[in-house]
Formats: sequence, C-alpha cells, structure tokens
Amino acid sequence: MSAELKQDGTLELTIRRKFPFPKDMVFEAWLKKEHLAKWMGPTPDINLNLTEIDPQNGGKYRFGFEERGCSDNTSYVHGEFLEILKPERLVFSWIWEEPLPEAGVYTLVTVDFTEVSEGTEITLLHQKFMDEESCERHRDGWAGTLDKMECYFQGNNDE
Amino acid sequence: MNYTREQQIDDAFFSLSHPVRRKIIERLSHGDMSVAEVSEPLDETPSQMTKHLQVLERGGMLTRKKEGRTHRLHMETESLKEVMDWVSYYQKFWDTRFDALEDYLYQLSEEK
Repeated sequence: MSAELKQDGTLELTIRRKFPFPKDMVFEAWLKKEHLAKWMGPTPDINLNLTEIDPQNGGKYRFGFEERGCSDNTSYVHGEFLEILKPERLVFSWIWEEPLPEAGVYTLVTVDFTEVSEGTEITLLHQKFMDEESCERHRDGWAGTLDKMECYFQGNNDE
Repeated sequence: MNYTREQQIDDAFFSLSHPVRRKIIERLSHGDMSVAEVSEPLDETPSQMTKHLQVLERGGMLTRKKEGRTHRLHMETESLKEVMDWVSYYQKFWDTRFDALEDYLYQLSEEK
C-alpha cells in the first residue's frame, strides 16, 4: 500500500495483491454480476445490493452496501466503466451518493491484472479527483491567463 | 458565495499539492514557528513564501497566532487528518474486498 499526493493536489492510493489463480479467472470476478455479488459486498457485516451493472465501455454500475439487518442504512456508490481491456485492465469512476460526506466527489479506480509466477497480481490505483466544479475553476483560471496573453500579443501587433 | 464542504476539501488537497508547502507543513509538525524560522532552510523569496502560506491557510492547514510583533505559525492537524482518513478508509475497504475475493476464488476453483 502506498499513498501519494500529486502535484495537481489529487491523492493516489495504490494497493497490490497476488492471487494464486489464472488471470482470466481473476478478471472475470470483477465484471460478472454473480461473481461480484459473492465478494464485493458480503463481508460479515455488509450485504451487496447490486442494483445495476452494465460491463462494457461507457456502461454504468450502481452498488448499494447494506448494513446487515438494517436496510435503511445502505450506502450507494455509482460510476461508469471507462475502459475494459480484457483481461488486462479495468478503469471505472467511483462516486458515493448522498448522504455520505464524500457524496458527489469524483474518484477514479484503475485495476491492472498482471501474470506473475505465483498467478495473477492485481494493482489497484484509487485516485481522488477534485470535483468537476473546481477543475472547471482551475481551467477557467488558465483560460483567463491565456486570453490575457493573447490580448497582450495582439495589442503589441496592432501598435 | 457559500463555502461548501467540497470546496473546503479541494482547498485542503490543493494546498498540499506543492513540494514547498508540504515541506512547510512537515516543519510545522514539530512545533509552532515564526515565518522567518519556517523559511530558513527553504530557498524561497519572501513573496513566494507569503503566497505559499496564504494557500496553506485557505486549505485550513495552518493558522497564525500573533505574538507581539511576530506571527507564530501553527499547524492544524484536523485538516491533514481528513486527507489521511481518505487514504486509510479506502485502504481498509480494498483490503477487505481483496480478502473476500481470494476466498471466493478458492471456492470457485474447488467447485470445478
């Protein structure tokens, strides 16, 4: 596990784990509804409520993590599959929903599958992005600066 | 304009996105310092330092306490904790999922 703060203020978390199973099998477990339901949710205290999964590029998913015996207490996460490269790589967005404090914050998960002598290694990179609004603000900042530069050069040419 | 929690988190992350600002925070983690003390080993001009300190203040990472004519800089651990909480939350989340995935793969291979 390692965490790194990038120059643009985003945070990255990398987790690696080796599984003594072939790559195809490990990859499949991430996309098929019946597989996911068996491991993504069910920890001793959590049930997975798979409300939607469309495992193709641009397809959407929505999971509910439901506290055992308390269906009122379900945390929902949704996202989009941005890249599915079978059986090498999986990229999807990960956005919690209200009323969680992180609700609406766009995060990105990249899972790489590599064949190793012991079987398959998964490298999971979870990145936290600033919300779109603030990315927009930063981009506007740059655009404004470039506009000013352009005006400045045009002004000089006109003289 | 309302200062939302999301903006607050963005500002906190953004304030840590520069190596000099991370250095400042690391120095202040040992105790409060004056601006002169914190700047000493850093190769920054006074105006660059002022800018960095402003960004860190906006990110909630530090506060200033006036002591006579000098300002003491104080690190606010709470904001940094928020950043760290994000890391530990997802570390635990994915570790637990990987454990479950491993168990499930064993189960699957036995069935075959």
